[in-house]
This record gives sequence, structure tokens and C-alpha cells, in this order.
Amino acid sequence: MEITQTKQGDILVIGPKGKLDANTSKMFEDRLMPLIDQGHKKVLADFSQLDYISSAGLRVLLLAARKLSESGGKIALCSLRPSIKTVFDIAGFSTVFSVFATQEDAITGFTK
Amino acid sequence: MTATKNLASLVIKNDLAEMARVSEIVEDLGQKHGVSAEALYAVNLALEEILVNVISYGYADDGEHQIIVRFDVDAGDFVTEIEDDAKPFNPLETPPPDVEAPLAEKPLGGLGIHLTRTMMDSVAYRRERGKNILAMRKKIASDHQG
Repeated sequence: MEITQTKQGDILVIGPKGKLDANTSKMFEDRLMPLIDQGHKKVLADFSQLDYISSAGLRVLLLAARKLSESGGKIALCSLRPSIKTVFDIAGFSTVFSVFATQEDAITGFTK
Repeated sequence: MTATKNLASLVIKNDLAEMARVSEIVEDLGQKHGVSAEALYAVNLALEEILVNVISYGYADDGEHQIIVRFDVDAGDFVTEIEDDAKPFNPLETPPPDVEAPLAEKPLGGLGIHLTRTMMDSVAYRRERGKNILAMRKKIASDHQG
């Protein structure tokens, strides 16, 4: 799967494209977790190009959030498509993750 | 659901790489039968979650097994049925995970089955001829019209 990666100030923006499923989530995990190990404290997962997420993808987000909270960091998400928002709501992720409508909103949210 | 009524069926091996074939046929049938994007997402997710469970945890041996996935359209529903020869497992008997738990205590397991049960309109399990058979239905039309 294609994963974009940019920096907005001190915020690492990571954007998985397509599907975060049982086959691709490992790739996302292998990309994201070392970045957190390297010391990135503010991570924004931009889902504007993401069509699909299953529990395999949710698992990676949960692992990343736990690792970040251990190091005093934080993960936020933005630009969730309606079906992905539904999955977040059912899994109880909408209440424990900071979810923003746009990347701009998320970056503002981080600097607050 | 009888064999003659089946729109399509697919036999896959107990290998996660087979998931691509499953989602391909779901997309194809979905287009042909005007299944809403929302319903297709739910069907794809349910199939993934259940098949991953069967393939990852269902078999005591390392051998090759066949899993049959059947598709049908019935009474406005997109129907999928999964038949496997894995150890008996009724996903309807698993307790729901505590989705209200805070981040540190959020369970990693059980989410897939919880998502499946919530997103599908119905899920029915039966054990027959030494097989697990899981039938799932999802309304073809979107819940959010207009």
C-alpha cells in the first residue's frame, strides 16, 4: 500500500491510501511504529485517501496511541470518510481518539 | 439459501492472501446488483473479519483447508454464507468487547466480531456436517436515502 509522509512543523502527517485491512495493516504498522520510536511525539493520521479500515487497521492505531501516550506524545486523525467514521463509532474509537474534519483543523488542534 | 439460487460461490484456501479474491467478487456482485457503497463496506468488512478469524485461529494443524463463500440476493438483502471445516466456533457466543474502555484498557481482541455483528443486519450460525456455517445478511439499499 502507498503511505504518504510529510511534516507540518513538528507534526508528522502520515496518510495511508486505499485499504487498511488484514493484509496491508502490517505495512502501516511497520512504517508508523519506528517513526514513533525515533521520537515523533505528534502524529496525525490523515485518512483523506483511505477507503477502508477493518479491525486490523484499528489495532495499529491503538498500538500507536498507546506507545505515544507512554512517551508523552499524541495521535490525532483527520478526514475520515463516512463508512470509516461508522467503524470508529462502533469500535468506540471516536471517543478516545481526537478526530478532526480536516488536516487544517487537526493541526490547529495540536497547537492548542 | 439453496445451491441452485446461488449468485456465485468461491472456494478459497486458508491463506490471508485469498482475501483479495473475496473482495474482488464482492465488488463485482455489488456493482451488478446495485448494492449501496455503505452495504458493500459492511459486507467486505464482515467477510474479512470472519475469514481472518477462521484462517488465523480456526485450525489446529498447518495443513491446507478449503473455505466456501457463497453469495446470494434475497428479499432485498445481500446474503453471504461462509462454510469452513475449522474447529467449532460460534462468533455470536463471544462476549462483546468493552468499547467504552479508556485507551489504555481498550481490548485489541473481539473488535472484528463486534463490528461484524453491528454492521450486518443479521448473522446466523449453525454447525452442520462438521462444518461451521455463518450466514450474514445486509440490506442492499442504503439506510441513508437521498
